[in-house]
Formats: sequence, C-alpha cells, structure tokens
Amino acid sequence: MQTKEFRIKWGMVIDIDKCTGCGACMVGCQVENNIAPMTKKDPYNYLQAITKDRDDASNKLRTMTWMNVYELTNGEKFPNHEVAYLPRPCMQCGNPACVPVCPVIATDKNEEGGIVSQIYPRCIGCRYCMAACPYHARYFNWWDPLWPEGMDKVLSPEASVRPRGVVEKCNFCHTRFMTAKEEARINGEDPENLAEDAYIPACARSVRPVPSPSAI
Amino acid sequence: MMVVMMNSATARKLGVGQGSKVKLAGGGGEAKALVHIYEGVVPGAVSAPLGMGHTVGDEFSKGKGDNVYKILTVTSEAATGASVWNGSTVNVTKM
Repeated sequence: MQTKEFRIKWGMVIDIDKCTGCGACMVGCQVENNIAPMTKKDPYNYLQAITKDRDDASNKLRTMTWMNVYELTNGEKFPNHEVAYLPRPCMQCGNPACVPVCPVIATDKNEEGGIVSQIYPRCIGCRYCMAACPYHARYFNWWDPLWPEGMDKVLSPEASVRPRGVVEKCNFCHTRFMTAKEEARINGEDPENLAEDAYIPACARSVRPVPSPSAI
Repeated sequence: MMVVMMNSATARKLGVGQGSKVKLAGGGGEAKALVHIYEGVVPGAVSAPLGMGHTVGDEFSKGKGDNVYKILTVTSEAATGASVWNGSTVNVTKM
C-alpha cells in the first residue's frame, strides 16, 4: 500500500496518558471552525416539509465533532475500573480511504503539507467518504447551521460556513496554515518551508498552556 | 433531561439500567434524570452535575440539565455554624 509522500507533513502527537477527557479540544475546534450548536427547535426553517426535523446535541449521531474524544475503559467493575480518553481528529491518513471514493474529487491529498482537503462547494453530499472513513471522522450537515441570537455576528472570519448537504471534517486548521504562510511571505520567508511550530491547530492550542512567540 | 452517573452495582440494586429514567428525591425537592452507568462512581452514590442547568434561556439552553441544589440537604457544621451540603442523601426511584 503506497502512502502519498510530501516534503513536509503536518501532524500531531496526542499523549493518551495525559488526556483527562475535559473536551476543551472539542470546544476549541467547534469555535475555530464555526460549527453551530444544535437545537431541536427551528423557528426559521421554511423548508420544514422537505428536511428532517432538527435534533439537539443529545443525539450523538448528529453532533458535529470534527475533534471527538472517546472514552475507553478496561471493562472492569468498580474499583478496578480504568479509563483512558482518546481524542480523534481526522487522522490525515497517508493513503486516505475517503479520497478514491469521492465521485467529484471534493476531497484529495494533493497539497504540500499532506493535509487531506475537503472542498465544500464541490461536495455533492453522497456521503461515500463517510462510509469509507475507518475513523468515522467525517460529518454530514443534515441541516443548515442555526445560530443563537447574535452568535452569527461573532463567527471566525477565517473559516467558511457550510450549508446543508455537505460533508465536513477536521482539516488540521488549514485556515491557520494559510495564515502562517501569509505571515511568512510578509516576513520575507519561504511559505513552503515553515518552521515546525509555525502554526498549531485549535485543538492543540486549547490545551497548550503557554503560547510560543510566533504561535497563532 | 439531566444525566446522572452511577455504577452497575448501584444500578442493579435500584433495578435500573443504562438510560433509565429515575427520580431523585431529597432535601425537600425532587429531580428527574437519565441514568448513565459509569464504573468510576463509588457504590451507593449517584453523581450529578452541580450547576449545569437552565430553566430560562433560548431554544439552545432552556430546559437543559437541572438544579441539583434543590435535592441537596443543607445542615450546619457543628463548630462554625456554616452551611454544609456533604451529608446529602437522595432516594432514587425508577420512573
């Protein structure tokens, strides 16, 4: 099996022993990427006749957690119960299962850096990639995003908002990658040759205690 | 609805399982909750999220969680007379 190779490959190490399952990475990811909170009620849905009823965050099959923390146990009863927490972003596979199945090439691993892309305007919502992903890291927008009053005015301008019918997934904070490349160009450095910690994704950033001088 | 945690031994004694609806009664109040089995809770105890609850708010926050304070029993600490809640017990019944 061949993995796609690149000069630079972005990735992260997650120390399972340190993870306490707090979920800060999940929240940081959702804030960074303009993921709407969920609600059952939709006072503005003019298409109610042709869309599924909305659901709230109790339905874990519908929560959009690009970064998702799983709870792993040893299955023992009290007091021998041990638990570990496993954060699971998109694994940016070396040979992604989701890429060859996309009928419209909305997802590909073709950019220097090795991030598996997801192009929202190209996606037709067939969800073949969701079936293929062994990590269940891909999420489908069953509904248009619905924001609490005023929250749509404070979204991050960097990340686009997705309509219903489109698959989305962790993109290793590609927007931060773009910003880091812009910084490099402004400073007269080579954007294709960034330093190792030129940027870190929002999930890692929400657990890192002290920012490095150039961190975004 | 609020989710409370208990371990499997406690759940078996109460005749409930994962996802069961229970009523917690104590301190002159009661609350409804769903059961989540988690072995990290000591036997005979129910773990409830204190402070997570909204009775007002918009469609995103209203009705989530519950006010756990209403089922806690408040007593006075002997030496200082300060209020303490650590003697709280609740009766858990399956709904």
